[in-house]
Amino acid sequence: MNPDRSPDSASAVPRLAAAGLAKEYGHVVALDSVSVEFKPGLTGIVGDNGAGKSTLMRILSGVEVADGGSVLVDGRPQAFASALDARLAGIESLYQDLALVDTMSVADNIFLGREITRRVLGVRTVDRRRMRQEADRVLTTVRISMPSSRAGVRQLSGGQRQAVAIARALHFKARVLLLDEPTAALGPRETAAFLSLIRHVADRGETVVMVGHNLPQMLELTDRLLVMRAGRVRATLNPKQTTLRELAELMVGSA
Amino acid sequence: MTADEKQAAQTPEDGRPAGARRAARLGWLAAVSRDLYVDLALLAALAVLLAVFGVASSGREFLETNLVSILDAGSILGVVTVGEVIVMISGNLDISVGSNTGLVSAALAVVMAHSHANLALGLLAAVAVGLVAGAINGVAVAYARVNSVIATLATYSAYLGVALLVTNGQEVGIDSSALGTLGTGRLLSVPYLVIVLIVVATIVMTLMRHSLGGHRVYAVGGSQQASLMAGIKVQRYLFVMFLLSGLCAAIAGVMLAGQTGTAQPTEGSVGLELTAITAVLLGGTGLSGGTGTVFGAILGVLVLSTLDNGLLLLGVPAFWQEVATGAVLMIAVLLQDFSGHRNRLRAMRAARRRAQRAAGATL
Repeated sequence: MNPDRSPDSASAVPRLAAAGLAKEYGHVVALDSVSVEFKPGLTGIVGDNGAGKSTLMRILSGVEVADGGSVLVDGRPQAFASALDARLAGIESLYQDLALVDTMSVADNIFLGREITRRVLGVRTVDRRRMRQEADRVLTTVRISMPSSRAGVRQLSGGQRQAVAIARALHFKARVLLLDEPTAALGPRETAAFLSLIRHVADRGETVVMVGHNLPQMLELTDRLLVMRAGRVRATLNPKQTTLRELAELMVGSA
Repeated sequence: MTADEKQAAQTPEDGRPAGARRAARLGWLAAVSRDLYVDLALLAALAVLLAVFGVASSGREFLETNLVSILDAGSILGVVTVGEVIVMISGNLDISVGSNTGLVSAALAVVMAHSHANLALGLLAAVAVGLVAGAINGVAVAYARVNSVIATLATYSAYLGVALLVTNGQEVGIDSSALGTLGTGRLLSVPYLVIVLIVVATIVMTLMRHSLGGHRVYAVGGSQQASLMAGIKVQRYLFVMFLLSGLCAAIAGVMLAGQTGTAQPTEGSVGLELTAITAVLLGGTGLSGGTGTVFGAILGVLVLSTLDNGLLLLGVPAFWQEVATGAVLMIAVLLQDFSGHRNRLRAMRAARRRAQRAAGATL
């Protein structure tokens, strides 16, 4: 059923998979039995508006609950009731603004909810120095220039904010990174830097899923491309062997 | 890969001009030292006020008698303010602290009057009443999700009513020399009330600055959404802040009862909440949560008490004291806003740019 033409289809249990996911809004079918496995590396999802890309991402990240089917992490079905559930299962989603505390520093945000502590007189105290050191170490791996791990997140640009979120995901060894049009709000130079970061993360063997509109960019950047149309995954392509024209035709359904 | 990494590290990734990058690099300094800046400004204001009042009232006498009375007068307000500032850092407001303080003193007096002046029983009742009052606020705000201004405005009225009910609106005397000593006595010329304030403020200040719980209160106040996403039990933190505010009101109520020797459902307690909020705002804590310090709020209390005391000493009519308090708050907030204003403008422009790009990308 799944027209998987990519070369590495035979592999172990994928970190993230969808099995028969369905979702309706009133009479509109947003997802119609979507089954897909996300392998290590960068998987791109393209499709016209209303194809179901964002609905799929929202279900994978726990923001919405599917009407049918299930999300599998390491082969085990999950029942996400919230984005927190998904995050605890190792699925890290990038949100533009929601997941960062503006009034706190970069280091505080990376360790939010998982602070490094030590006991002083029986009280759990926050070890800010170690958090800053660790944050500096992770930030060098995300390769986006950051004023300082002490800087307030409020002062960061959009790309830097996303780099903080990715640094957090990497540091806590997230299983999967979900990106829904991550460069939509970035300028050209920040976009280039951000995409090279994503590529770098995928090359390390992480599982990254990214929705994008810029087709040439998606063809160049991704390891696999899912084409969605009318709530279904119509094709799984190897971007190295696909032309822009073929991709566009698959998207509008004339092929 | 390493050569690639090196190259990437050298390219300026964000497209902003060097000036903006330098400003951002200095940004942490501004962010980290903002609290310090507020504290220093308040200390300077305090020094100026003391100097002016000292000179105007010809020196020695002012310093000897009034420094202590400034601290003494500010101690009850100070303890209430400690409770208020942590609620405000968590992003809420507690308007009921004044009537809670009055209710506690009423409970203390009534229980002692009915138990042959049993102080232990009275103190137990006082603490229990303060905690229950705080817990009611906490449940309403954290779990029933009522806006804190509305919830505590409601309990402000209710607690005041209960206090008047249990005392029948009459003065109830308290027969306890120990409580009287707490209220008016001194240890090596330092009033006990001041010692209580120093102990309470130091403990809460240290916990807010260093403990995991305090750190997360700042996170919850900064963004409930992000804190929830990070797995922080937001509701529990909000609840505990109101509970602690209730505990502070309980301590303040006992102090007030000791100072006056009677139950005080209204006198000395009503209006305390607004002065406390004023002190917190003076101390650099915003209304939106996630920022501010206990230390700053205490400095705010000292500025307000010094102002009151000094103007009284100079024979300025009490009405003008109110005007002065208002003016000081307005000036302080304007000054603090001036530093935050540029950051906010910059953030707004960045957000607008992001939105424009997002719109452009989908077109």
